[in-house]
Amino acid sequence: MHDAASRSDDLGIIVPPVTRRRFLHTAGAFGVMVGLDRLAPAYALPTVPQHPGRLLANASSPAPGRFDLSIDTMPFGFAGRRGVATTINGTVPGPLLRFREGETATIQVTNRLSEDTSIHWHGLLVPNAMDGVPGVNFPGIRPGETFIYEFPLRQYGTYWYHSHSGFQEQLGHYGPLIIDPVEPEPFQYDREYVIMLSDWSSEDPLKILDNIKKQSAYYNFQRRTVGDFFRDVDRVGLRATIADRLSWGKMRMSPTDIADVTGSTYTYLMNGLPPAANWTGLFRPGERVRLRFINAGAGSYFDVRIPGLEMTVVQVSGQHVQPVPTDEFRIEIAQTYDVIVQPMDDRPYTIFAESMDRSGYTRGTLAPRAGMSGEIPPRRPRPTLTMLDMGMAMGIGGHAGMSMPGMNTSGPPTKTAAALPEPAMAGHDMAGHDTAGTASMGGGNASAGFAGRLRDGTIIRTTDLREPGTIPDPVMHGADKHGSASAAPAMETRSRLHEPGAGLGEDGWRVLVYTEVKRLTPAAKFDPPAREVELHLTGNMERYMWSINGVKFSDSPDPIPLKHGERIRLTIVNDTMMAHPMHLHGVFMELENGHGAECPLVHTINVKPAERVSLLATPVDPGPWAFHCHVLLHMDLGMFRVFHVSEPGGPMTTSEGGEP
Amino acid sequence: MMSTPARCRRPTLAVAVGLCIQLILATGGHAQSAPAGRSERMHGMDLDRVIRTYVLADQLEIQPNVRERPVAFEFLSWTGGDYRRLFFRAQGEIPTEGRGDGALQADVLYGRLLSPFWSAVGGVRVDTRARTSVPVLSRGDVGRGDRSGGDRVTRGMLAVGLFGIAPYWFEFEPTLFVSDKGHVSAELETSFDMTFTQRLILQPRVELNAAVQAVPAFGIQSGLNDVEFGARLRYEIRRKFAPYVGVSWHRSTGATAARVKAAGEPISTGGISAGVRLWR
Repeated sequence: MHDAASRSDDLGIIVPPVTRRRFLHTAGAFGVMVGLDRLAPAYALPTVPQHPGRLLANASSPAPGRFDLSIDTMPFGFAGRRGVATTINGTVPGPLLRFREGETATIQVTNRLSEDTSIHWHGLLVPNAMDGVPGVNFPGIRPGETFIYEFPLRQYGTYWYHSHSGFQEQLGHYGPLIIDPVEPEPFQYDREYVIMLSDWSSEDPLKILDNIKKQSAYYNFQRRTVGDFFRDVDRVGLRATIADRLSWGKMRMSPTDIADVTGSTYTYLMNGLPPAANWTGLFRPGERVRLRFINAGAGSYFDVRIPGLEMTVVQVSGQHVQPVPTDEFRIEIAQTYDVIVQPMDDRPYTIFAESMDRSGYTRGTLAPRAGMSGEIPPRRPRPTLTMLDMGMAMGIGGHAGMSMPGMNTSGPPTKTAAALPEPAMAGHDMAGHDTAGTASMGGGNASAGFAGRLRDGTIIRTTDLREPGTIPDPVMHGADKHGSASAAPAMETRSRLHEPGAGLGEDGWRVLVYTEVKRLTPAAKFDPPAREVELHLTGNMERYMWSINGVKFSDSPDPIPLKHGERIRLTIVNDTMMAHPMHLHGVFMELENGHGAECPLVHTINVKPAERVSLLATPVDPGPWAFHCHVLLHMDLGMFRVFHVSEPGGPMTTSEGGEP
Repeated sequence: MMSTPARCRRPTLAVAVGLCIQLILATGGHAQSAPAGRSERMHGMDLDRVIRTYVLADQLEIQPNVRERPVAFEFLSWTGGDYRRLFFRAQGEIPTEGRGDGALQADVLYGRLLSPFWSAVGGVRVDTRARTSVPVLSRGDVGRGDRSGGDRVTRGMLAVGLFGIAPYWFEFEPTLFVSDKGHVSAELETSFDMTFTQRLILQPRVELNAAVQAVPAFGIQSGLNDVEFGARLRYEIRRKFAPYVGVSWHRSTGATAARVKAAGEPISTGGISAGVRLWR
């Protein structure tokens, strides 16, 4: 419905969507839950329409912008396997919080747990002390205490909130958050639903971690077998199969290591319900339905599609984008996508969300009447990683051709196809030997813009930086291999924003890629970066260690200093063979996907294996801000850093500075 | 020669005590990371600092057609974090028939992660065997290195080695030993997992033993002493509980073979085994 020709019309004619009151009314009339699991939380009962939501309509919101939340525990589980969930106001997910842009949010959080808790407002630009990361922004909320969050709402969009303490997020401590814009939205819809995806295990997260720490493939029941070997021989020949096995074996890596925790212990949830419970949202044929997808998984990426329906992506990370019609998208952990669909037929449509490793799925139904269930599409084979994911230098001829299925070539050809190492990296290599020095290199050597290296290995560049908004060139890895915490770092990293990702793109339908995403209106101010900060994501799967630049957060790396109002380029290099959803608190990042001033704003970005992603940001809110991988276990084990933004006019914290 | 029950149980006891300590540590390690302790931590982002204990009974099996029908075992456990670990390794056999005392080699090793896949280890080994299993050729050999007297010989050794995974997924634990008498020996073991299905796994393994000096009381000759090939097919009912069946083939080599032959014993023996692989 949003083809290129009509796009400008859509943007030009701005029709206010349903008013909040009208929305709540219609939702109440038509949204129902069907096929409930008996263990489902109270909010999901049939009397409650459209997900937990409707909070503004009930007494829990004493005044506009004000909510009271209570964090507690409750037995929770499916199919007879029970655990204990961390709940917000007694539900999983927590209630929908709905605000209006420009309001002041006042949220009173009471901790009824026997341990500390916290809430982080994911993607919201809040004063530092309100950001909710214990140990970074505030001490946390002690048992029995009430903490009042208060912050102005300076943005619009679909977001979510979650605990930043321990494993609570895995245990159900998350919920959706919507800020209605002051300006009318540039698209219309008749009805809306929140689709919150998540993963649940009845196993104690501590036990899950312990299992993985002792055997990293503990939950992987999709490893390659002897049978796969012979199937591959049939398909690609003996020579190629042996070459493939040898190259993986040589690196001591597994091409099936897509997810650490899988459907063998996870139940994948849609709005807190397992697939059997079939969360259902009602529509009248011909209506435009806005679906606000949020991935609240602790360890699961989802591939989302609604067979038979085209989805038009209108927001990413809560921010308007130029409408992109697509058939499927991969939603990284902590990301949000708002799509509009227009089901025309009087039949049920399945909302299908497969976990990236295909070990399971969750689903719901868009239906004209309650009690209907759409067809569940056939499951696809699990993807395998390729030579590109390994970070093999593609300049070495022949290797690309022998990769196994899953290697995606869709998307516009870009200059990233070139495989020449940056000549400047010779200087980088030299710098790699400088492990002790702080910012001591640079100056006289050939390194383009290389200004130094922080003590934790972070690379700083200040000159000869690329044009803003452009895609980074492929780069050979420097001499610093990040020590024993980093196994087989990618030899060569490149932009992969045009790729849909492992296991996608070969089904004959469209899959959203990040190079298709452009912000709705070009940035009014789009300055070149003054400084580049390059971080390498590192891991050692054998010991299940996760770190940045080979340094775990528990090794007490210094905060990375940023200057108030400074235009920085954040370059994230994934040296591992897993995808990492990286999230920077406190500021929107402009994803440099080749579209200049139309680069989209994101709070979270998926960094594929062996990928090099760069983002621009202008941090203004002073204080320490968390930057981390949103795979909960990766974060908890050390793939975490603090960026410290200086006071206006104040000096930057030095690399030698202690933790704030 | 007579074996007393007390003596017979000594190696078993040593292993049992070692395992108990490790199991207590394993429980303790988990308790330390339990929710009660969590509020003490600022971020919950230091879970990599938790001291864990891993206990693996890689082999725990009966070998029905080997002389004395021994129960053979191979344990590996560690306690520690990402970079530093205290390893406990034990292998041996306990006869279920006959008068033998069995054998035990138990190591306590401190290990440090050197590179992503390799730890350097160093520590001590206790090597104790029944003299009945040693082909005695000359009176002069008897008693050298023998501290326990009677029908058991025991020696202490210093050990250095590497634990890790070589390219192509071969697990290696090469270890070099120097005994309290200055005798130098080496042990090389490697194994590999072949995934037939997600739960049916074949583990071939090779073990080589070599020595610089002959230590006749322990049946050891200079040079490569013996080679053992094994293959165990396990079914992981759960990841941590996998019954298996196996075959193994052991051959004495070089001077050892000559002595074994002279003692009227076969230089190569083969057998089947059945057991269970466990870890926690």
